[in-house]
Amino acid sequence: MEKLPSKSGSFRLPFFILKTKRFWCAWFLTLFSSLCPAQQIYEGHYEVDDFSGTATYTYTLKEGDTLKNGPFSFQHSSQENLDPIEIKGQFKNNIPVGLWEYTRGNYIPHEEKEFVDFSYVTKLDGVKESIKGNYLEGVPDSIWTIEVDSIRGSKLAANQFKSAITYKQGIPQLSFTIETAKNLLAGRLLRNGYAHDTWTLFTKDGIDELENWVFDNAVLKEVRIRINDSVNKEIAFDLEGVEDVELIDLDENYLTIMEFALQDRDTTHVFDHGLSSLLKENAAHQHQVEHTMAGLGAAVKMASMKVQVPRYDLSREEEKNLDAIAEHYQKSQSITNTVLSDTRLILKKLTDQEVALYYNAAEDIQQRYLKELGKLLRYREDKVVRYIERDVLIKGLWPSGLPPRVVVSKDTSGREIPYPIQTDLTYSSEADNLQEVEKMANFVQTVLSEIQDKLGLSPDASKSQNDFNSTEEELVTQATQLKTHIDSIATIQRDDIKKTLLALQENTDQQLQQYALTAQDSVEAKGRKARELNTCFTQKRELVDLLIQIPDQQQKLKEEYTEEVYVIFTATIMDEQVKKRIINAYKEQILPYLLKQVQEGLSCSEIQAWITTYEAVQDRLYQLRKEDTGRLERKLKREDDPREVLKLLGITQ
Amino acid sequence: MLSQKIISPFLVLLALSFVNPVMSQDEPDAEVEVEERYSKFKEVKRKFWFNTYGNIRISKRLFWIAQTHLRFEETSTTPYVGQIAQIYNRHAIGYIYDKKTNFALGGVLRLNFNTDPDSEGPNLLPEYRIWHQYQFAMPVYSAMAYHRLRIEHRWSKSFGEEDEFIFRNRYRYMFRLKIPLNKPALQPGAFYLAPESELILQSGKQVIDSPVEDVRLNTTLGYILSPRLTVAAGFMYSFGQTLDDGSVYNQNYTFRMHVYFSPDLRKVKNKLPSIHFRD
Repeated sequence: MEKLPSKSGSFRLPFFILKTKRFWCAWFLTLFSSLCPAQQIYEGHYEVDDFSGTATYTYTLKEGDTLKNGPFSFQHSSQENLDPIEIKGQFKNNIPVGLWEYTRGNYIPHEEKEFVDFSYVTKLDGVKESIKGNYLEGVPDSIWTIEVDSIRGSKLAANQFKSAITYKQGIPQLSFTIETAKNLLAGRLLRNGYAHDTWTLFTKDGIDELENWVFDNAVLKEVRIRINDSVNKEIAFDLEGVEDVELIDLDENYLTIMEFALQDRDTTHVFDHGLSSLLKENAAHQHQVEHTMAGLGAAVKMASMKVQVPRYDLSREEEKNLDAIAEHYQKSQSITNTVLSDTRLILKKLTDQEVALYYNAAEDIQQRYLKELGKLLRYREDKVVRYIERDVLIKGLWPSGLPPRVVVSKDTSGREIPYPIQTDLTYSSEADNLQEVEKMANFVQTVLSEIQDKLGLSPDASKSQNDFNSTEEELVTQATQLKTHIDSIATIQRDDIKKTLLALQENTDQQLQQYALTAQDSVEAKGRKARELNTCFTQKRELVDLLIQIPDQQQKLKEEYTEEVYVIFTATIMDEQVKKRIINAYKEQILPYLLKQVQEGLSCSEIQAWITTYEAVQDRLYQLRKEDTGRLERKLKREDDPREVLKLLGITQ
Repeated sequence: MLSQKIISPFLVLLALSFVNPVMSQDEPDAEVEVEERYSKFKEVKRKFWFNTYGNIRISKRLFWIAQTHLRFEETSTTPYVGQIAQIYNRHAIGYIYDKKTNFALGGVLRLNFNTDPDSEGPNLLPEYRIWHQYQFAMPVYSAMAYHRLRIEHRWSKSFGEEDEFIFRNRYRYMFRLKIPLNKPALQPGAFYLAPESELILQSGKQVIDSPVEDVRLNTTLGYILSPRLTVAAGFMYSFGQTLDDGSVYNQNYTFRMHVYFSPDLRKVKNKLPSIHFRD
């Protein structure tokens, strides 16, 4: 800024300058800027939604507060992370205005790099989510779009989800659409955001109507679901006769409320899939924007389609029950966490009957009691409970009544045994009120406290395991992770792979049990064995990952051995399996033989060799596709010993 | 009036044009009795055909059609398979124009056995044909529809002692569907139903009042074992005018069994790409 020296300065301003326009402009600008608060630019570290990154924005300081004014941008990305986030928009006195864009990604890099223009490029697969729309003085205004696209090889592959909703001064209205790769939902809202008219879920080709939800002034009146070409299921809803009703936002909580209300009339869980799942996904994206904006200090409301639900206020007694349930639950959860994550106990339960009894009882309690209690408390936090009649809520959480007052444990060999309950506390399984649920929660907490005492654990016992060997801890964690991993993937595998995975899981238990026995001998032997098992479990994890790829790899191999043939008789193209004997030898002899080896239990030293053999077989099969294999195929015809078949393929084990 | 004078003759002419000239000619012979003729269907003959069809691929566009048909017919004691009636050898070179169109040109040697127990004629007579065929396929949902035009030039001889070889032309049109039953398309493992109908017309010096040689209505159930092998069986009803007397119709019930095979004699390197003809 040019400084004008005063009359008493060393030089004077020539008089003719006062007459020029330029002088007066400069004078006004100086005066104006000295009256307005100074605009400053921030560029640096910033955190949004627990993600750290860099933000650039202009702001002004007003009475000690930072007011964002002007463009705002945030970026969470670096060479290492594969979940970049980018937010762009504008603020006016801390209120979002104008166009805002939120982009998120989640990518997995390809294993191989490509050489492009003298540099190595890693292509990515994954999902890109982008949300954009305008704000008018802090409320959504204009059309807001949410798009989720799948990315293959760093290119846009397909659209998975897309919604377009029109807002006017913060209220969603007019018609809107939500579409996925398969379905399209078209619905309508009144000017006040009320759900209205028929909302229809179509197949993407627009031919079939899969679901129709009929709203009337925010009240859902009827749901019609297409079962097949000629059969439709119709479910009617009625709010007549309900004393209290309330308008709430249409999001996942509304769908939970409706699902509870419907459960005893219909078992198809209408509000768990189909049209519901589209609304849920849309609301989840909207909540994400709300969360992000709250993090930026500018609360907005996106999920604001309105629907009406009945209200059943909680009595003072019921509030008290829920408070008590929450307290029992938290204490119970804390005890089970302590017990179940104690690596010493995990090892000891494999050899010590008493520890097994207590440990497995705690596990049973967590599964049968605490899961549902946790759900009940989440519903309370989400403020869903007040819209569901209490007996309906309890029936929904425990369809066949509260779990019976029995705790089932297991001995060291995994055989089920009853846990001797000591407390006299009881509750009625058939009751459907919160009072009995509270009694049950109290019972659970008491039993868990007994277990904790018997195991000699203090509430913070897990922190006081000073003498515990870190290798051993890692070992138990590794084994637990491996077993949990197998549990989560085994059920969806085909039978032979599933059987192999479960055998691996059982074998892991045995290895831990052996270790627990060795551990009693000497510290030295214990340490050595722990290190061995560490390596072994790492290899096992690698083996598990390989096993679950087998069906895909087999399919690829089958495709490799498939040719398209033009058949003149039918004038069509048909797929033909070529070199059938080779592919059959693999399918019927080699693969079952290799899987059997794993099922019968590979020693730690054999795992790597097994993986090498499997990979060698794969490579050889791809080679054979291109070779002249007439002679080999003739020999394979006569051979039914898998070891000989491997030899014929040139594989030595 | 002038206009009436001009129009009247035209009206008269128009009225006359509607008068049946035959009727007017018949007027003088009205008393002659017209002989009433009715068509007559001969008794049904039962037959059994075992047909093999080979389409042997010899180059990208050419294939060799090799068909052998064994045709049996009833005797007084044995229905359907009582005696051999004809052995067919049909060969041709086919040309694949595109995936949906092919043409063929070739010859037939048919051996006709004398199946009439009262005949004094020879036991076996050859019959020669030159044939060419034009086939068009079109997909209809998951099924396929086929139009087949076949023209045959035929030298045949009857079993009478004084009979000579006569020459006739045959014009055949067949419409056929192949509908997969248990799979989304015609593919290995698919059962298919193939209704078909064929009209066979003939011409030649000796063809006086019997142009409709045969009408064949046939349904087959097939199974595609592999792209190289298909088996099928079906039943056919056919009827057509006899050569001697157009008012007399033959009728046949025929059980048919078919084996379709299509080996590829090309070397592996020549097979690829095997399907892109005109894409």
